[in-house]
Amino acid sequence: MLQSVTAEPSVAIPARSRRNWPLIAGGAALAVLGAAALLAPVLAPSPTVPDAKAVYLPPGARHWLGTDMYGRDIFARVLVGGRYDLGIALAAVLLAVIPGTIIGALIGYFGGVADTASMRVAEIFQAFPSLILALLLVATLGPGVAIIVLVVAFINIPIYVRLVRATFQVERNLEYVDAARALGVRPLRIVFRHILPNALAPVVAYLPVNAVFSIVIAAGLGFLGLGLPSPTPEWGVMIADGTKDVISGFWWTSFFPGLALVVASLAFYLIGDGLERRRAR
Amino acid sequence: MTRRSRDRRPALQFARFVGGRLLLALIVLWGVVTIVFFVSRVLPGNPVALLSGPVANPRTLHDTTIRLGLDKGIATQYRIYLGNLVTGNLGTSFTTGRSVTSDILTRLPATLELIIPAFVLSVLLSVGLASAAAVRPGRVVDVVVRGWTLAGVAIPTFWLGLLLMLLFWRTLHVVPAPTGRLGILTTPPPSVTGFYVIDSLLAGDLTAFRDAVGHLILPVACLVIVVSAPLTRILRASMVEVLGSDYLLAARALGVPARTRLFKDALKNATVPVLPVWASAFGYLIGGAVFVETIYSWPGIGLYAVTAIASSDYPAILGFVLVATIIYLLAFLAADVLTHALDPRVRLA
Repeated sequence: MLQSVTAEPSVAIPARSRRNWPLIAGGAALAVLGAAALLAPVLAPSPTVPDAKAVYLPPGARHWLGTDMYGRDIFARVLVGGRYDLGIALAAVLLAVIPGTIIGALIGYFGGVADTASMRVAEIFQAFPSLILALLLVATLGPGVAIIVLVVAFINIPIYVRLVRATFQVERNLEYVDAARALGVRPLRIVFRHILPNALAPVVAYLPVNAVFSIVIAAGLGFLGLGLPSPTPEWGVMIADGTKDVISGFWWTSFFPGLALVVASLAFYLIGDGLERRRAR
Repeated sequence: MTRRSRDRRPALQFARFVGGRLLLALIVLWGVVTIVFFVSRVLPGNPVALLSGPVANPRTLHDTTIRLGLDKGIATQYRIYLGNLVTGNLGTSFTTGRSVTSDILTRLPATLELIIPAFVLSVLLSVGLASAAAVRPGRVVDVVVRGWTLAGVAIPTFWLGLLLMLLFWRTLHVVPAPTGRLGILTTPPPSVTGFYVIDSLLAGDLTAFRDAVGHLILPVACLVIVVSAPLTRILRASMVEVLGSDYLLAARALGVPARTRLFKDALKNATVPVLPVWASAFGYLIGGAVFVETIYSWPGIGLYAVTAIASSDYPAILGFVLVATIIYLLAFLAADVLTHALDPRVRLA
């Protein structure tokens, strides 16, 4: 059967430049954050138990990142927060990439009314600034982890549809597709077995960038009070709760959850950069 | 190149182009309005309860149902909704008790006073940084600029706003407290344009002017850092591409000075493809304004929306969404028209 030919680098690359540092660093940072989120109960005291004797303690030996207005440990809350933020981002990306790729593949290959119609609809949804659309949908549907995941995934879908559709519009006219058609391969098999493997590279390259977008939108909704209810140790909610503390000088309640958010975003960016580098070889 | 007959009347052709784009923008606006309608009436959730407010009694619920035709078919509801929009009626806010339209119109100048300077400064900063980086790709300046853009993209607006406040107000005391547009002791200047910076100058009130500018510094800086980062990244890529092109090599061979090549020949051509990105900056700015206004108690439409969210003031939320999206659409319309004016290839196409 006709298969796609993957380009192998013909020139030997010196060992030094073969190390993909952005990918290693990004992957390591993300692994640490993920492991910390999973192991939070073992690593730190409970994130929800208040302690009246330890209100607003600055970072120190007993509470590494200090405590908040109820005496809850910030370190524990930041660790557990990773479960919400990383989990929401990953779920929102996965729930977007799968339907987005399938829709993009079908409308890119078959074209026609469905193609025109879905592109027009996508255009109108993209006429909203993303955060504003998320705000509208969550304000209507109500808070909750599942709603946030679905809303962020919904906003992510058009980009995957566009990416895959554009590749399919080029690939469907190539000779290997003509050959498959001449051999009598069924159209759906051509779409998913023959063309799709060749259309995934731009999708994979976009995944980390999309993860950053998703995590920032999810935390932003939390900050605006549209995400999870206040005692939840989600990073955006924690930063919102810490806003009034900054005015009184207790900087640590909002600083550390924000720092975790930035580290997660940078890790995803580095992974994206590393993947891009691997593709460019 | 062959001269076409329509080229001889550029003004008419331009008017036709702008008219076409205006029509297209109106169609998109209709789509946007329709989506907002369907989201607010058809998605799971009780539209009567949402549109009547959190403290509605049976009587208010009944009033809302009759007024918006919520007991009628979806087509009738849609007709009432469109009719209300065309007459500028966005409903009544539960928290302020006034019409959402007048609420938003009184708060809009505050938001524009934030996002217009932020837009201009972001564009200027991105042009400067992108030019400096693109002239010598891979060198120190380029690496620093790339690091800066990466940081700017990865740092969330709401956290950056808090950091700037902590550093420049709380620790260094170089800017006034985050009390909104003016200090609590300053009287606002008589309203002419709605922009305190301009109005205070018109009234000759230098104290108010200084106070207004002081209160603008941090929120504008926060927006500029966040928005200039993606603009710089994309303009840098565009500049690197243009600077490597043959016509600039030819210009160099002909002895055109480096400064002219960079700022007259390269920048103009590198700018055209990024105009839509500049328009999309308004999307970031409006989203950013929601956060920045919350942090700095800035009484604009962003803070209005956040207050509305906190009190489940659904008509106010819908009004904000529509106005924010219209600003975004206008930015794209402006970018389209500018592209047309700057790029002869688009004109001839």
